[in-house]
Amino acid sequence: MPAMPTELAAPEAPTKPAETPVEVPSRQDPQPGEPDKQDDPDIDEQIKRIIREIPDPTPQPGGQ
Amino acid sequence: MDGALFGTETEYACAGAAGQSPAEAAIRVKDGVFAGRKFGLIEPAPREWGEVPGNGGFLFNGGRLYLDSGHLEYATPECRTLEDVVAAERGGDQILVQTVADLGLQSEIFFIKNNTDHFGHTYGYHENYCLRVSPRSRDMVQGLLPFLVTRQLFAGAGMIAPAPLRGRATGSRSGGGPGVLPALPGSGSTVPVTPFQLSQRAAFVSVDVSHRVRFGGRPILNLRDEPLAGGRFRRLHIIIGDANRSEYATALKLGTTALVAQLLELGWDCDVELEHPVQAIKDISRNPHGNWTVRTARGGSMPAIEVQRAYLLEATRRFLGRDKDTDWTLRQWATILNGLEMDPLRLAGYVDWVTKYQQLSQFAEKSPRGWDDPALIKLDLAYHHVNPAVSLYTLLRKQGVIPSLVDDERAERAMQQPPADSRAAGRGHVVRAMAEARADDAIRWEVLARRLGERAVWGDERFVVYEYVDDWRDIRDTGAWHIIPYLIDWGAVAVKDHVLEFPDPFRDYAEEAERFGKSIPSLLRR
Repeated sequence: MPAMPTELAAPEAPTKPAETPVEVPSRQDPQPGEPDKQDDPDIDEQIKRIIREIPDPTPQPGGQ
Repeated sequence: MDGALFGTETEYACAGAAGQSPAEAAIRVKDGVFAGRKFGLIEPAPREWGEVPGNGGFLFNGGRLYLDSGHLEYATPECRTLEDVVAAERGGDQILVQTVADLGLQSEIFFIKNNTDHFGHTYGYHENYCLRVSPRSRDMVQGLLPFLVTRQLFAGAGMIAPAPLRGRATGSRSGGGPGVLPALPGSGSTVPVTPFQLSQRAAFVSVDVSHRVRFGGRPILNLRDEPLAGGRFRRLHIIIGDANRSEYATALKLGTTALVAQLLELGWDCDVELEHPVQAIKDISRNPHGNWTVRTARGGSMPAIEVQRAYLLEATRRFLGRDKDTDWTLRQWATILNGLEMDPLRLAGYVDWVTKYQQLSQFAEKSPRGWDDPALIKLDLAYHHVNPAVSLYTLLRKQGVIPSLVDDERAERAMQQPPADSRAAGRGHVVRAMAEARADDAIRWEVLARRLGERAVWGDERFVVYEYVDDWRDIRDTGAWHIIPYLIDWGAVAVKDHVLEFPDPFRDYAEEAERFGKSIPSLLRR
């Protein structure tokens, strides 16, 4: 799967940023024929594996 | 970014060490980082804030790794570009991952880059910005608060509210009963959701401004002004931010804040004043469904996104076209605010809280226990694990759900190499030269271990040392170079009375560091 763009689809240079509407980021929209990533059974299995392998929540010292 | 210099500090959580507390495990890994001089050099001097000899050390990449409040903490080197600071943060993560692997403890010790343990404790992620005016001025404080209160909209890391806070996290504006929040717009889901907050830190804030960071009230804006540089520089120390995993969010958080700090340095007067900043930051955090509003001091209300746009508009007017980082920040700032306004869910992969909310929602929908499934807290934590083998964030990145701003090769270089255009370059060079000369072999740990303080007579030696060392002058004045042969600081490096100072954080000190590095072996023999 190709990497995601490192920039969201941007409107014209924001010389008037308070003006709306502008283009909503759209590069994450599924393309025709592209499976929904969130229904990928491999991801579900990997998430289950991660939950099994990481330790249970552990109280931490209070920090700054 | 023109005129900007910034860095971050991350207190990592630690879990999983069999029979060891998180603090004990942190010590073990800290010792591992410096034992082989693989990433940096241990510091022998006791320092302020209770840092005992050997509490930490400086790294070849110009950063620092040390123990603080029971956490292993990593401070990045001083950076002047967004790419450098993102890479430096990843370099710190990977130093921990590599050291745990070198120690053969990868199935026993896990570091987590987040800000809450879900037991009601929080720990910090601090940002530092170099200023030329005091961060304590009234204009600076009033100008920063509305921005920081609303910045979580794109910089929040998101979390299931820790159990002790859930009672206060049940506000619902439409639909759902007690303890139920509405779904995000656009999700198409009517499944009730468990309390979820945009920010990991907002719930723990109790005052708007304070000189303190922890006791006596956690502030939105900390007034510590410890420049660690020459007299014309000041430091803005922000402790309200979350430790982001999204590199995009990290860059946008630092880029926007640097621009806002520059606006205020130029004397721009923000026209927005919030009625109750502490209440506002909590209210926004508790609301993951959009339409965020804040009460203003004039008695009305305004959309939180419009607060951000007030800063964006002025920053665009003054800075657009100035340099690459500035333009990236302005464009992405405008785009993210529009995205938040129109459909936050489309920002999954870019904004951490949205990514996490989406993942938790999908998991809950598939679980027979829904949002009551205790695995959701583990999934929340999994997003923040830095070990890529068990990191939900890394999994999503590999699946193409989350973009990276720096590639793996760049991140690996950041474990060892400092930014080339700040004083971190000079410091990193000298620290490496000291390590190659095995300067730490000359530390008299057996004396240091007897506790420093007041006047002391050990054997035939009589000297005064301090409870902690402020800078190299303390060692010189007490004649303690034969115990503490070197001192490394953000603003100077000293080896037995020979000092190289770095007062200007914007200079690389390359030539001075080269000369100083070559002299180290002979200095250590004296």
